[in-house]
Amino acid sequence: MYELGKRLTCAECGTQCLVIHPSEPGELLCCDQPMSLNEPKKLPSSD
Amino acid sequence: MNIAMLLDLPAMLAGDHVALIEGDTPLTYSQTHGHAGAVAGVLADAGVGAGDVVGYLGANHVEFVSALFGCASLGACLAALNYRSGAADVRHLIADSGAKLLLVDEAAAPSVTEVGRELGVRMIGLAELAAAVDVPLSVPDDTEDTDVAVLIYTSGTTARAKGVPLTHGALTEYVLSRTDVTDGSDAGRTLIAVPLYHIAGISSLLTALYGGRTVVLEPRFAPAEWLALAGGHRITHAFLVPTMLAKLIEAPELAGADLTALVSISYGAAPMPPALLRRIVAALPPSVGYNGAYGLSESVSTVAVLDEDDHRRFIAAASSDDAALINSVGRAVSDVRIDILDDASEPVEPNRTGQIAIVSRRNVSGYWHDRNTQPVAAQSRLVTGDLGYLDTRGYLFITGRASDMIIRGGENISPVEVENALLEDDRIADAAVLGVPDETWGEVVGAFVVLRAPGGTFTLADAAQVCSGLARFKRPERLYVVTDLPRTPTGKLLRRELPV
Repeated sequence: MYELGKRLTCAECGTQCLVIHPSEPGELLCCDQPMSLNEPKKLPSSD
Repeated sequence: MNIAMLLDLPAMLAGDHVALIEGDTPLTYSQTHGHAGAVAGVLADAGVGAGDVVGYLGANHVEFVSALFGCASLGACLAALNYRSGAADVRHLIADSGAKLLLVDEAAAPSVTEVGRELGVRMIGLAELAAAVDVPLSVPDDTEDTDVAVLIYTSGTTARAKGVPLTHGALTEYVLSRTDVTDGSDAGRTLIAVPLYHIAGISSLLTALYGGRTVVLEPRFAPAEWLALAGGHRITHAFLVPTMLAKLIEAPELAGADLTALVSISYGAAPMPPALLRRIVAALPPSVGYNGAYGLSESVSTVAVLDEDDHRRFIAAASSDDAALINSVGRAVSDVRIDILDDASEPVEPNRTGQIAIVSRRNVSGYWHDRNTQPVAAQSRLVTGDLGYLDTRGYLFITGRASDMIIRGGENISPVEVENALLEDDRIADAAVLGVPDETWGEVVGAFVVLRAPGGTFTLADAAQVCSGLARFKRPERLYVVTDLPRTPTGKLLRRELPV
């Protein structure tokens, strides 16, 4: 189950996903492997 | 992904958090979402649908934000137009954009109404949008990345303003490359005073809203009001163009202003003269950090940043390399590569000057009406028209515009270098340099200066003295003392309007 707004990346092909709907329990797969959660990215001061 | 998602997601996660403030009226994310939905309803009732263009001609108001997301929700495009252009330019912007409906800030732009009537385009006043009843914003799920969300116009420093289509894909990519969605925690408050018809205004708005930094809108920049808003709303972040900062530090109200919450000022949209930056750093509280942003409309906002650490390094100036950073616009941001190209369009080695090219998926594929010819971004490489070089650490230094280069008897002279030398002199408030026709040399350096003391004297010999650190052929040979210089609202110099 993934939290809303989290991002995931496929280590194999680089595809990124953004969670925009509350998800069901389960795991997101890409290239036959689980996608990994990205590190949180805080709004930088330059923005 | 549709840009409406950049409001929808934070509204789901932090609905009660304050998203927007105009005047003394705060709007939460839920309210902002509802108001955008209401405006979408007004637009739909007026016949706006997918693929249509809606023009916005007005100051920085909440209604702009609602219209931006409202249009996105309908699959329409918001043309953010410079309402302060003269009547002829406004006519060009409306006609060129193909807007079928205009949202008009009648108080700020009375002449727009006249032009709109002449062109027979339907108009809706901002008051009507403000009165619409909130409904949740719907986010379409069939938006293509290549669909146009926003149309803005280049400042037209050398020719007629050209439309730059900003796609849903490019805008969301920019925002997502900068930040994650807010989790509802306090991310500060940003004051947006740059016009929202400029890429810096739009990108600041979208990243702040998505990242959870409350946006305070100043409808139109005025130094005293900016300082009052900064103190009253405990502003933590702000983006300003160099000419705004120059006015801010000269404002008498600065002495009594409360800037204790301010942690960061970002600047960009026009070159920052090093002499002005030094004066800004000296005038504002030492707790303020600085970020210089270099970007273009065509690359959908910032491509390089000179960050707070870089600023601290050149202020400390522990080495000549650190001190030189004051002349840099920084290093490429994470989703951008910067190439310097020679005349054959091949990348050159560090420290060699050439055309600056931007490699990024955000680059637009062409201008409005000319989107399939790829005039600006062949193979995702955008040749900017700016000249510059990268040092061995990856810092970008801009030396001027290719089209502005002065050629005196075969010697190339960058106007920016001469302008920066002139601006080091305390007597000079503003300066512009361009090539002036000359029978012997083809062109010589002509300098236009605005003096700090009106009616003061400043001679060609003074100018040569001030520029004595430059090679002799780069020193001004014609001098024009003027009362002001023609600039765009974001402070870019309009060289073509200099009266030679």
